[in-house]
Amino acid sequence: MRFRLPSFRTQIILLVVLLIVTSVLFFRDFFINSFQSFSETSETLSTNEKSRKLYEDYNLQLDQVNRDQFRKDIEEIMSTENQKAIARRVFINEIELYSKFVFFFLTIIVIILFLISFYFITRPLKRLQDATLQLAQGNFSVQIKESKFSPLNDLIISFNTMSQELESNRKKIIQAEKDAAWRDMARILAHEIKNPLTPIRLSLERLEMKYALKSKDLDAVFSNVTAIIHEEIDNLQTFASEFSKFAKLPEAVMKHYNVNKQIAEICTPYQTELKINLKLEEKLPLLFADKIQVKQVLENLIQNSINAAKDNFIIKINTDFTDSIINISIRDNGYGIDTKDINEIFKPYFTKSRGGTGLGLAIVKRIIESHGGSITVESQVDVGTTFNLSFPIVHKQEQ
Amino acid sequence: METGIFAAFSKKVISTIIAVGSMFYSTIDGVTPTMNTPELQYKNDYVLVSTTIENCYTEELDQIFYSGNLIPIYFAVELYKDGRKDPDSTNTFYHALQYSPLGDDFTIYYSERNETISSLNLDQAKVLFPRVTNYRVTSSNNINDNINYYLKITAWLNKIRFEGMEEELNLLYYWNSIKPNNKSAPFTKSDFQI
Repeated sequence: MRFRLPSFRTQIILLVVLLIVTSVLFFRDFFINSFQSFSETSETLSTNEKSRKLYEDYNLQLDQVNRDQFRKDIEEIMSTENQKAIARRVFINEIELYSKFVFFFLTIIVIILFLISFYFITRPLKRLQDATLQLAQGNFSVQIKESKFSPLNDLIISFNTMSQELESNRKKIIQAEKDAAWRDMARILAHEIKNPLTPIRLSLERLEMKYALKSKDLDAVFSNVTAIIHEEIDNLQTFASEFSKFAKLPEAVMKHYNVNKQIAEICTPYQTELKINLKLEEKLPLLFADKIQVKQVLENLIQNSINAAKDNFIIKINTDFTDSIINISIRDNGYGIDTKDINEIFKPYFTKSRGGTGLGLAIVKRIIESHGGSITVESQVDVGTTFNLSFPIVHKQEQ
Repeated sequence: METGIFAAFSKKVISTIIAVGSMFYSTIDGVTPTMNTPELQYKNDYVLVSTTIENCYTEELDQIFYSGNLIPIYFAVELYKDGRKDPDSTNTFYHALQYSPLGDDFTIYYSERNETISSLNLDQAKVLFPRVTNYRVTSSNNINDNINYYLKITAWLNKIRFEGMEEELNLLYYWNSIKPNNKSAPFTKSDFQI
């Protein structure tokens, strides 16, 4: 049968009771014995008045020699009386002071015991707090050292069990996600590879048939088929290239630069064909980022907007900043994104456009997050879409 | 048996607490006495000294005087050659105060001149008790030529036992454990020839 410690409240009460009982036992004997001793002494005291009366009554009945001796004896008795009165006063003073000493000593002892017990009670709590913090930061393997004499030990055991379960479940989830990702990728790869294969196979069959029949338009068909095959091979190469980019981004070369200037340069070639309004904050701090990767992000988002263009199409690009963040927003008045698709657009291989790989926005998101930033999207069908980019401000001395 | 051990242990602990506490605080509210500068006189080839102790009474000391116990003040008179650490000579004597409960008066005994003064009230006794008057320190025969001398007088109280107290009461606590002392002005043998 397992021994169970009493509850925390019971432990505190027991501690206080123990302290009181010990204190009473400790000091009872001393004070009681002292007072008893003093009372016994007090009871033996005679009074000066009785002695004086005794002397006055009898001294005249004695001769000179005996009278002097009698006086001496009486004075000795009275002196003893007075000395006992002084002794009593001194004793009371001492007891008063000594009780203060003992009270002070007891207070110190109680405070020390309280602090010790408080330390032992709060130590597991501190461990729990630290472990919870680590758990919140994603360290599911955190374990707390057990304190067998602490009333919080059951909580510690429960916490350890919980973190073990969380760690186990996390591993299962990661494995499941990996499996799902592999399945998705295999499906997409198969789909993307099969898509060009069908027109290639059909074109080749048509060419074979024309060749077998010695058709007069063989040359024209040959030309058409090779064009189709080239186009499909180009599509496959594009897909392979985008896939490779997504799989591995080149290492970022971080430096401070003027992102306003970069936006203006990127927009210049587009402005011959469409209207782009720039509202760039003049006092914008320098952006600490990989210039090439940010260019890729901006171009991708602008191209994304162009793909959704309709009549009177316009793109507005704004920059501003707060104490710690540089914000870039890219707004268009295109067709917008369906509400049900909003949460999917940054996922790899999600696309609504023909010929799109579905990797563009996934790459954009990955680049921004690798810079410690974030991207959000607001969209309304037939009204337009706004992408909001945030990058942390990194001062040069913080690099 | 266990109670006995516990009682002994608790007594030991409390004694320690009291001993430690007494190092910092006392039940006795004492005063800081001072010895007046000794005044020298030269009479019949003798050096005479007179002085008294100031600020040497507390209310509790007055009550102790009324106990009827013999209360002595001890004096030491030391003769020093100027610049020496050790005295040439040391004389000690005492004044003893005693209250008579029947006569309700005080008697002071001066050991230096074997004299008793009786029938004093408390105020008179408190003036005369610490006073040293024309105490004969040394003769001119004991004084060397061309050497500076000075006198140092020190007073103190001793422990006395009261009925009903387990331990003796150290009266010097009423003087904050201070033995008041003072030095005379320096003198030479030539001063005797005035």
